[in-house]
Amino acid sequence: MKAAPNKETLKLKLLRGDQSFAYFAIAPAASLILSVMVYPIAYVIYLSFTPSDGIVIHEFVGLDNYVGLLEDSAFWRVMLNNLIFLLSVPLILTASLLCAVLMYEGIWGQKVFRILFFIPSVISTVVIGILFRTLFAYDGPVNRLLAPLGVPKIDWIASGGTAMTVIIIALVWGSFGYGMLILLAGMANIDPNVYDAARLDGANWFQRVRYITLPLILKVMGFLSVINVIYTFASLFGFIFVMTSGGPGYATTTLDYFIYLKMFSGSDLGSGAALAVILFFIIMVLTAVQLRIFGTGADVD
Amino acid sequence: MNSSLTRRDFLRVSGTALVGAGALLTVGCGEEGGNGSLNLVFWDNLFELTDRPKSQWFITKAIEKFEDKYPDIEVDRVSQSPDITTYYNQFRAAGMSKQGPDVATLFAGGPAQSFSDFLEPLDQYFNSEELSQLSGWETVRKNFSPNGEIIAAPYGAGSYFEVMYNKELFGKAGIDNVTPPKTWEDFLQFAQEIKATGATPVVIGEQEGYAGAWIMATLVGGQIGTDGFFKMRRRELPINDQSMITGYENYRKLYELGLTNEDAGSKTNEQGQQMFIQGEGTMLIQGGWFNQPVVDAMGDNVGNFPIPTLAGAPHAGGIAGGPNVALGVTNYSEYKEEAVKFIKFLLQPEIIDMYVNIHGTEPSNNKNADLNAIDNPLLKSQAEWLKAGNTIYPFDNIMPQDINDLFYRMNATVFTGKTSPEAAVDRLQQEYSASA
Repeated sequence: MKAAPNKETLKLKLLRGDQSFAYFAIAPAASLILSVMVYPIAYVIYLSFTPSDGIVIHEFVGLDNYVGLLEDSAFWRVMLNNLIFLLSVPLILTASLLCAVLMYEGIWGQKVFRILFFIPSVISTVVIGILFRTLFAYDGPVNRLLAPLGVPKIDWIASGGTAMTVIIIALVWGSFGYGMLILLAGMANIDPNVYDAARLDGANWFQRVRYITLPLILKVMGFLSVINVIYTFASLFGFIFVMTSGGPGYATTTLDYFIYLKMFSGSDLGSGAALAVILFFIIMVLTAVQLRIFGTGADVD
Repeated sequence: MNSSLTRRDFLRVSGTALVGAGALLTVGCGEEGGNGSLNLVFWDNLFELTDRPKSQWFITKAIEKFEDKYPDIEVDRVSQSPDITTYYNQFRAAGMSKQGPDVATLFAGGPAQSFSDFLEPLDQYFNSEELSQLSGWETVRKNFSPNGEIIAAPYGAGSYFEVMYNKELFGKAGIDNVTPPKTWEDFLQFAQEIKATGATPVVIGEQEGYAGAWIMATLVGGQIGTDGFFKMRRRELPINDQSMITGYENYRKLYELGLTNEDAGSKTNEQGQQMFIQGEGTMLIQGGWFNQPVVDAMGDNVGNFPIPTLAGAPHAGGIAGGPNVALGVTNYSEYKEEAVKFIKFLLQPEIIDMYVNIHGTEPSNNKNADLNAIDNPLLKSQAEWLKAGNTIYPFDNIMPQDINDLFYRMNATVFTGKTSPEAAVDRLQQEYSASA
């Protein structure tokens, strides 16, 4: 005759059963994450140490791909381009903040403006690219508007500096509406009593924005800054592809477009993968720095 | 109790899902049954005509004729992406697993070279008489070596670069009888005379640098010939050779002298084509692929002449361009003899004539071609030039794709004066050296 299990053993068995079940239950999600996130990232890192063309994986070459990139003048040009494109981030933040404050203050027609400002965010990058390419065409509306002011016709897209300016303008136009909504959501969490108290204390509009609104939405601003920096490094492909194809030369080529060129045009997956890894670390470092800055700042009470 | 039931349910659902997924995966691996005849698998990424019904395609008609002649062979045409990179990767992947086609269309030149590990050498299948009937073999010899193995058969004489002109605008500029300039220098002079009448001599969309590739093929090819470009590929001649610098210096004169539309640097090639069709300039530098669209749009109002070479060039009068299409047999095919039979059938003069007639993009590369098969007037005159002149196989048909990509970029910046010719060729040489 078998002895009846005591209470502790039963509990343990149940617990073990629950644990097994828990592991089993998370298995699909875990395998999904492993297969579509961890494995591809690990594979890209592995590829970056080989001179692969995507089909045939050759021998391990250590850091050769990375060294090759660092010795390539085009790589440094592209890095510089990305740093210049970062100029769009403060512009997007400023435009978003300005619009969000105006919306929050309930200016006349704010509901209509809110929709109008958000529309660019739901327009495809390709469409925005074509739109701005057309606006800044040699015979386009911008040159025609500038002509009466005595400004000679400018071939905006043909020169690196002007082409970048056009891309940055397009980027800001396409992104500030989304930023405005995020900031508005952050402002909605501010207790209205704080503003009432400030008004009673005689604070004017600017002082309310400077000393109440801004400090209380600093974390949201931080979030917005982080996603825009990531966007600037990893998602400009559509704009570049449509507007300049990275040209003239490499004057408007960004890191993500350079990865595309290396991997798909040159079939050099090794260097492309190395670039992707570098991009990954750049974004990680920049994000950490931003989180530190905005995280500390948000402690202001 | 509830937890135990849930677990069981969960297992049951998971099991069913796994079995279902397995079944779905298995469905994708089925094989097509045969009808007794031998099946040749033919991968085609170059003969599709998307603007016409399939029954009117050249390749559909050619396969029908082949199957009529050889009823024991059935050709399974598998449509493939015309995108060079996509096709490149698919063909390589298929080659690695030996699960690819028996016959395949390939881009002649550099791309075909990159597939040579998977292609059956055709030397043993073609006798000297058959070889002499066709032009373009030099573009499909392994490593572009004159004695290299033939890795594919060239199909069609290829697209050749040309200067298209608007007859009506020429008339307005006082040019009634067009005498094509014999040298590039004459061409620049000719364009300046047109400019003096107030017209835009050349419309060009050079943002991508494609027109530069066609002009450079002529200007540099005129100096060093096709063999010079092959030497560059084989690293026997540096890319920063003086001939390339001279080519760039002369190419950019078009823009320097104001002979193009002012926004040439920011317009795409396609936009340049549209500008020409809309009569915004008297000339357009283009290639055979635009023959049919431009004739469709402008009718008899368009004429053409070759892009001239530089004065005193050793290969003066050379026509730049060359075979784009090649047909190869895979070295893992079980039906190599039949595959070659199919290729030889397609290479018959009357079949190539049918291709020329239906596609209207390139002349025949068969010596017994019927020039009457060509309807397109621009293509007809191109075929005449080819009879008389030497051809130059372009730099970007020979070099690897990553170098070509950089070449196009350099063209665009040299054209607008953002990069010097010397810096551009040094950059190309540096990139090619790095890929050694």
